[in-house]
Amino acid sequence: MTKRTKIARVVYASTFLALTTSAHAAPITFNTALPVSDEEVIVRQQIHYVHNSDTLGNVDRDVKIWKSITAAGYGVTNKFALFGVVPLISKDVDIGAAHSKASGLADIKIFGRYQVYRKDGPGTTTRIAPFVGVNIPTGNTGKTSDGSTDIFGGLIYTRASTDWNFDGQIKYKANGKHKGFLRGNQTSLDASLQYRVNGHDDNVKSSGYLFTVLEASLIYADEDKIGGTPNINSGGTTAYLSPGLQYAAKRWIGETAIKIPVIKDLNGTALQSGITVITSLRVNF
Amino acid sequence: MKKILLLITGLMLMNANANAKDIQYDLRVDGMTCPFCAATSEKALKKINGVHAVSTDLEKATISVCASKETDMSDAKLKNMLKKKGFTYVNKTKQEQCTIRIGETDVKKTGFLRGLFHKHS
Repeated sequence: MTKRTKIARVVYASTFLALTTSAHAAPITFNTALPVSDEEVIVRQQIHYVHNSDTLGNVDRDVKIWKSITAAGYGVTNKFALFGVVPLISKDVDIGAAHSKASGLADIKIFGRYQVYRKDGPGTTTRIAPFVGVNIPTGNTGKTSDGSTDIFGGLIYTRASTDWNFDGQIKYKANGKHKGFLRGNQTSLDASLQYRVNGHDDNVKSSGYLFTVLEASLIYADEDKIGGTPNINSGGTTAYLSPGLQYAAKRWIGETAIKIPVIKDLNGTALQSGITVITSLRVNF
Repeated sequence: MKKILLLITGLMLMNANANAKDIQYDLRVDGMTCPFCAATSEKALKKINGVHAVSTDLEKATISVCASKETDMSDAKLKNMLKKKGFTYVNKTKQEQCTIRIGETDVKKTGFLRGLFHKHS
C-alpha cells in the first residue's frame, strides 16, 4: 500500500464517521472539545502510558513514558472558555546499552475556545468553535521540553444527541525555535465517535450513560531543523485508532482508551510510535 | 419510642412529593444530550428562590421544576438563565400539583455506585 493510499484511507474513515453520526463533545484523546458552561469549572485528570520501541540495525530502542495530564476549563461566558493543561512526565529511554531518565513538569498549554455556531434541538446539539493557544516552555529544556514557545489553533466541530456523540477537530501547531532547534510544525485531524450502549429503550432520565468510543487521528509533522538544516530522521505521518469506553454520570465521567498506531510513515530513522494507554476522570464543579 | 416515631415520620415526609402547595413547571429545553448537561441546568434552576425540586428527563428534553406559586418562572428569566448555561429554552407547561420526589432531584447524589446500578424506570 502506498503512503498516499494509506493516508487517503484514514481521511475517508474519518469523513465516514463524521457523515454518519450525530454528536456532542467528550473525546478521550484530545481536550479542545471539553464541554464547559458559563461560570462552570471542569477538571480532567488523565494518566497516559506510552511505549515506543523499534530496532535500528542491531540497536534496540525503547522509550517508556508515564504522563499525568491535568486539564482544567472555565466558562468565561456561555460562548468563551479558557483552558489550561499541566503535564507531568516520567521518561525512560533505552538505546542499546545506554539508559537515560527524565521526569518533571513538561510544557504547560493554555488555550481559549470561542463558540461561533450553535443549533439545539430536543436532545441534540451542533456546535462549532475555533480555538487558539500557546505552549509555554515550562519544562526542563532537552529533557521534558524543547524550550520553545509554540502556538496552535484549529476548529472543533461537535454534534451530539443522547445516543451518539461526534467530535471532529483540525489543528495546526507552529513550533518556535530555541537555541537553534526547531521542531517541525504539525497538522492533525482528529475524530471521536461515542455510541451509547445502555438504556436505549428505556426512559434513562439522567443517571448515567455508558458509551463505547472510537477515535481516529492523523498527524503530519514537518522535519525538525537544527541550525537551519533539516533533520531527515524526523517528522512524517502517523495515524492512530483509539477504541475506548466512557461512563458519564451527572458530575463525573470516567474513561479509558488504547491509542494504537495504524500508520507509521516516519522519515528516516525516526523512532516508531507505539501504543498509548489512557485512563481519565473528569469532574464538573 | 416517641422520638423514633417522629424520626420515621420526618424521613417519610422528606421522601414525599415536593411541597403539596408547589406548582410543577415542565420546561422544554433543547441541546441537553448528556447527564453533565442535566446537572448544569439543574444546578442553575435550583438557585432560583422558591424552587424546591428539579428533575431532568433527557429523552423528553424536559426539566420538571417544583416551585412555590410566588416564584418568578417567567419565560424571559428561564431563557436567559439556560442560554448562559449553553442550552435553549423553548417553552413551559404548568401543573397544579408536583409529581417530583425530592429524593430524586439532588444532582449531588449521583455518585459512582448509584450511577452504575441505577435501575432505569
